[in-house]
Amino acid sequence: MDAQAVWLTLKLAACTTGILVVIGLPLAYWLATSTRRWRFLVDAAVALPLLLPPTVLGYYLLVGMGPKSFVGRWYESLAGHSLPFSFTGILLGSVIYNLPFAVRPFTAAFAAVDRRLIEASWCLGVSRGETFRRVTIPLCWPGILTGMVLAFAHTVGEFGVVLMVGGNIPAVTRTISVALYDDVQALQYTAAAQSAAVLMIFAFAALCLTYTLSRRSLPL
Amino acid sequence: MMQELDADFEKRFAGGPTIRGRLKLPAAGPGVTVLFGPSGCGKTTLLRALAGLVRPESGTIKFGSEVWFDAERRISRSPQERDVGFLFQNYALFPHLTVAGNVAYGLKARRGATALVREILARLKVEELADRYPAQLSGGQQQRVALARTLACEPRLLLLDEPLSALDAPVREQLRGELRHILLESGKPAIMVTHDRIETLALADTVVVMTDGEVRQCGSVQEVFSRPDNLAIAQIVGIETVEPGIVQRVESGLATVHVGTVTLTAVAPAVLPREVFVCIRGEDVLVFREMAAATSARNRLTARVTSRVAEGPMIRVGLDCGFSLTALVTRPACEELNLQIGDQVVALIKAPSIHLVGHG
Repeated sequence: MDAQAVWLTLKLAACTTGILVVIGLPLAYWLATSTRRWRFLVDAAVALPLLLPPTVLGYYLLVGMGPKSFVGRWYESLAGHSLPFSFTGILLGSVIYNLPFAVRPFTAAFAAVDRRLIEASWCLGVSRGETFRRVTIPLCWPGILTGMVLAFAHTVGEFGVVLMVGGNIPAVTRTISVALYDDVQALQYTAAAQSAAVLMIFAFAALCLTYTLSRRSLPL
Repeated sequence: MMQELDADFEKRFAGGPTIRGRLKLPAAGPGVTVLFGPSGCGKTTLLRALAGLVRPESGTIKFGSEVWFDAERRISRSPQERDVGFLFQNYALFPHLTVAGNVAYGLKARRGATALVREILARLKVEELADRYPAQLSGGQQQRVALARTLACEPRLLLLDEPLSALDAPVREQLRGELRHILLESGKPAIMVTHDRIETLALADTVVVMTDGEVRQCGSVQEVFSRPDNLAIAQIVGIETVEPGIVQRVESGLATVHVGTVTLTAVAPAVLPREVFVCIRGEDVLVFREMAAATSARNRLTARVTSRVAEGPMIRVGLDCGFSLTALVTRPACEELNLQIGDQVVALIKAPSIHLVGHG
């Protein structure tokens, strides 16, 4: 098995999950509490990767990040290299592609919190931010953890977007699933079998964990 | 200057009713105001608007010299800034915190917080529950813990949304009297919402009657119940006579109560303080021209007719029998008796028809 690929995959999954927590929690909180009429548009946009083939997203990312685009040129002048076929490139693709896997469990958890608990906290003089930290997060942690596990696991198994945006550069964009595809192309069935087994066991373990979490509602 | 809570606002619900909150109440010192009315009349919305949890479309809410809400000047203080205590109908205890954690929640890292929590839990007689979680408490215990959590922050105004409705009937009855004591002891004005007549009688100093999103009448318990402004309010309050009384003695389940200048016999409820409200429904009062020779009714009072008001098929007859008593009789019965203002009559009331509600 390709140790470099394993390390790269874990790094990609950890970074993706971290970024999704930072942008996903506020986004999910907004989705769970907003009464705006156009909220459905954001809901749909977040869920889009669930239906979209990864190649479609990969294509738009390639075009959007390429040297002909404004973003691509701006990034290149800043970082000295282009976004496609770099780690940052596949990280960006992976964050967008995994948005629903993190945001949807987060949103469900936030929506399940009794509104009166939040209001009770406000009436006790505790600010909105403090209330979020001291009431919402403790009550939502199983949902938040579920979202993180799903996002992490789904990134580990990510294939299409990574291949489209990143190609197959060892130690830069060659993740386990890309290595597996490559091994099969090269008729290296032993290595392929190992990678497949690792991904399979990992995915199963991650799902087991999320189902245990979903049974746990409160830390009592 | 008298500190006053002065609210006059409108809250509109899309495709629903408009709630008009008009209210002027003292904003300092102990006293319980009950917002009384049928479900869906806007009581809870009014209470939530006072707390800052609902934002009205127009009008103002002032607390003393502070402006809490002013639609025109675009002022709307947050619940945090209003410094009020809100007791939710289901108590809204934080399920992930212990009883002590719940009570200490609003105290921040204030010095002496632990001692204060212990003191308040002891005052409400729940100190032995300090380490339990809300899910391990009975309804009555949850209510006390929620009260303790609210009182710990020393709010300037207490708002209670149907505080007894989540409890089983026997517990509710027992906690009714205690709740009034706790609220008075806190020394803060309290506004409580309920649709229950008996709760209103037992807890209120001032009653505010609401129907269809409007405040209809505001006054003392006796004023609102015995002298409702109009027929609609009379029908909502549903008890024609409410008079303060003093219990003299209780013997074999019967209480002797002093009301005005007369003494009445009533069936005694399980818990009976000395000071009570004597409640008599108009249809339970029988009116005779002359004293019947013998009757099973325990209370026979000579009375003078003071008023006659038609109310559909019924006539509301006001009687003075040492206290003011209202009888509801049918129109034909009234004609047969030829009741005229100033006539001497006899009023009979059976002991079980006199309801005593403690109001200590």
